[in-house]
Amino acid sequence: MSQGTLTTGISTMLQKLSELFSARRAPAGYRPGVTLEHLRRNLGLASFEQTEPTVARASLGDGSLQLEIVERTESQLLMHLVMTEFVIRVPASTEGTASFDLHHSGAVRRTGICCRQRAGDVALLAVLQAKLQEDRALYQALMPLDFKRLRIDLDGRQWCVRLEHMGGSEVVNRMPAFRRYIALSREQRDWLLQSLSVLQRVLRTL
Amino acid sequence: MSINDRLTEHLNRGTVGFPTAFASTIGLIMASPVILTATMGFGIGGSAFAMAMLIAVVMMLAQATTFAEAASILPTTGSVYDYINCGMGRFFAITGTLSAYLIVHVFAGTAETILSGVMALVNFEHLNTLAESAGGSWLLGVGFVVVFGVLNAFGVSAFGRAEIILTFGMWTTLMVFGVLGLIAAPAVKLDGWFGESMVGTDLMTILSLVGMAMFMFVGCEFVTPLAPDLRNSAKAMPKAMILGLLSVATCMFIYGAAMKRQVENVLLDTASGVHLLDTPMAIPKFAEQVMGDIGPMWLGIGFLFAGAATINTLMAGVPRILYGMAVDGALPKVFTYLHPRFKTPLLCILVVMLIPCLHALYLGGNADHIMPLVLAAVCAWSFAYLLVTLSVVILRIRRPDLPRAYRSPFFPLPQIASSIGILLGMWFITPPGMNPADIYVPFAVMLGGTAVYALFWTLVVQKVNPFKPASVEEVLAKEFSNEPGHPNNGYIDHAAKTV
Repeated sequence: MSQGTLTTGISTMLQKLSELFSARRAPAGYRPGVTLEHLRRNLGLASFEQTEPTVARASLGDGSLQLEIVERTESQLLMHLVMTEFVIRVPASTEGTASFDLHHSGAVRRTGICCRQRAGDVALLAVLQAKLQEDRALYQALMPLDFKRLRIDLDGRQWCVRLEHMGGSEVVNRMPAFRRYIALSREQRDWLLQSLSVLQRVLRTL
Repeated sequence: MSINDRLTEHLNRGTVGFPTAFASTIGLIMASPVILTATMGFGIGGSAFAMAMLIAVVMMLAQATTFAEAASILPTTGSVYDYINCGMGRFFAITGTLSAYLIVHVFAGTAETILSGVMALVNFEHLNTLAESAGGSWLLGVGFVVVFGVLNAFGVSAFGRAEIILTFGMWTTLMVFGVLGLIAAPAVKLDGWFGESMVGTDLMTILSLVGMAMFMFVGCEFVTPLAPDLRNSAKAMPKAMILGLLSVATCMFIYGAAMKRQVENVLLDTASGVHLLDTPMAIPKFAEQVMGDIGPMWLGIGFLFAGAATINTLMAGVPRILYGMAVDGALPKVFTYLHPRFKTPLLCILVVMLIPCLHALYLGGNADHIMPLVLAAVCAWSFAYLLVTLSVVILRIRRPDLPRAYRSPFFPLPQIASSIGILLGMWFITPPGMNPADIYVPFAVMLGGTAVYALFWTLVVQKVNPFKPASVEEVLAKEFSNEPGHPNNGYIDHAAKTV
C-alpha cells in the first residue's frame, strides 16, 4: 500500500469518526419533520408549509404574524428528545447588537417576568424591561405560557425572537422502545400565538 | 395508492441503516444485571448453564423471526402495542405492553439502580471499603438517581454524545477481557470449557437455568420500533436481530469461559453456601487476573459511566412523558406543574426518582434480591413475547392476504419452538436454592394490577370492546398520516401511544 493511499485512508476514517461523534450528527432513529407534523395539527393554522425537512413556515389567517418553526434534537443514551423552536423576525427601528434571555421569576409560583442581558447595548435592557412591565397584553400572554427558553436578539436592524415551548416536543426512546409526542394544548397554543404577536408589536416600536 | 404500495414504499424508505439497528440489539449487554447474571450463571451451572444459553439462543432466534414478521406487517412506532392490538385486542395490548416495558422497568430498573453502584465500586477496593462502611456501595446507584434527578430538575442535560461510545465500549470491553482471559494461562483447572456444574446436569436443572440465560438475550425486540426509520427494513431488521443475538451469545460464551478459567469459585460463606462467582466480587478478581491493576479500574470506570448514563436517560425522558400524559388528561393535572425558572416538570421528576430509590431502599440494597428481581422481569418479558407470537399466528390465519415484506420461515415451527421454550422457561424459572415465591408472587401481583387497569381503561374510560382486534389497515393509515406532508386536519389526534 502506498503512503498516499494510507494517508487518504486514515483521513477518510478520521472524517467518518468525526462525523460519528459530531455534535451535529442526528440521533439514531430521528425522523426529521415528524414532530413538526404533530405540531402542525396542534397549531391548526391555515397556512403551514414545510420548507425543509426540519423547518416549517406558518402564519396567522390574517397574515399579521409570520413565523418559522425549527426542529432541534438533544441526544441521550439510547434516547433522544425532539424540540421545536418558534422564530419570528422583526425589523428594528434602531441599529445595534444585543441578546436577552427572558424567563419567569419565582421559586414555587410564577411571580413575574425577568429579563437577563447576555450581550450588547446595556441601555436596551432598561427599555425592554420597561416594556415588559408596561405592556399588559404581553405580560398577560407570557405569564401562563410554558416556554422553556425565550431569547431575543438584535442583529443589525433586525430583532429575532426564539421561543421553545415544553409542548410540541417528542421523546424517542430506544430501550425500552417507544416514542411519545408532548402535545401543545389549545390554551397554550393561544397564549403562544398571542405572545409572539405582542412581542412583534412591541419590538417594532423599540 | 393502495395500502400495499404505501407499505412497500414505507419499508424501503428510512433514515437509519443496518449499523444502528445492530447497535440497538446489542445495547442491552451493557446493563449491569446482564453481566452479573452471566457471572452467576456460569458460576453455579458451568457447562449446564452453557447448554441453557444455547437453548435460550435458539428460542430467541425463533422469537426474532416472529418479531421481524410483525414489524414488516406493522412498521409502526407503537410496535408491541400495535402487534397485539391487531391480533388480540386492546386489553391484551395494554396488558402486554405494560408488562413488557413498565413491569420490566420496575424490576430491572431497581436491579440496575442497586447494581450500578455495586458493580462500579467493587472494582475500586479502597472506595468500596469506604462505601460499605458508610452503608453500602449500592447507595451510589441511589446517589446517581438523586444527582441526575436534581440535574434534570435544573434543566441540565448530561451524556449527550455518550450513546455510541457506551454501547460499543461495553461490548468491546467484555470481548477484550474475555479473549485475554482465554489466551492467558489458566488459573483454575477446569473440566471442559465452562467447568463442572455445581447443581447437576440433568434436563430439569438445565431447564431451570434457561430463565436466567434468557435474560441475556431478551431485548432484541427493542429494535422493532425502528422499522419505520430503517432503510430496507424487511431485510435489515431480521439480519440485525439475528446478528445481534449471535454477537451477544458469542461475547457471553467467551466471557463465561474466561471467567471460569481465571477465577477460583471459592466458598465464601459455609452457612449460606455463597460462592465467589455468586457475587459481584468475582468481576474485579477476574479483571485483575487478566490485566493486572489496570483491569479493575477499566471495568470500574466502564460500569460507572454505563450505570450513570442509563439512569440519566431514565431521568431525562420519563418525566417529560408523564408531563405529556398529564397534558393529555391521562394523569392528574398536578403533573403539569413546571418550575417557574427552569420549566422542568418537578413532580414528574420526583416520582421517577422515588420509584427505583424507594424500591431499592425497601429491599435494603441487598444483592440477594437482585436475581429474583431479574427473574420476575424475565417472566414479564416472556408473557409479552407469548402475546406477540400468538398475535402473529392469529394474523397469519385470519389475514393471510396482508402484505408481508418478511415472512417467518417454516411457519409455524419457530412460533411453536419459541412458545414452548418460553413456557418451559417460565415454569422452571427458579434456579436451585431459590424460593419460587420470591419470583412468582411479585410478578403475579404486578401482572394482575396491570390487567385490572387494562380492563378498567378499555371498558370504563375508552368504552370499547377490550377483546376486539384492531384493523391493521386503520393502524397503518394512522401511522402513515403522521408522516410529513400528509394532509390531516384534526386538532389533537393523540398521535402518540400512551405507552
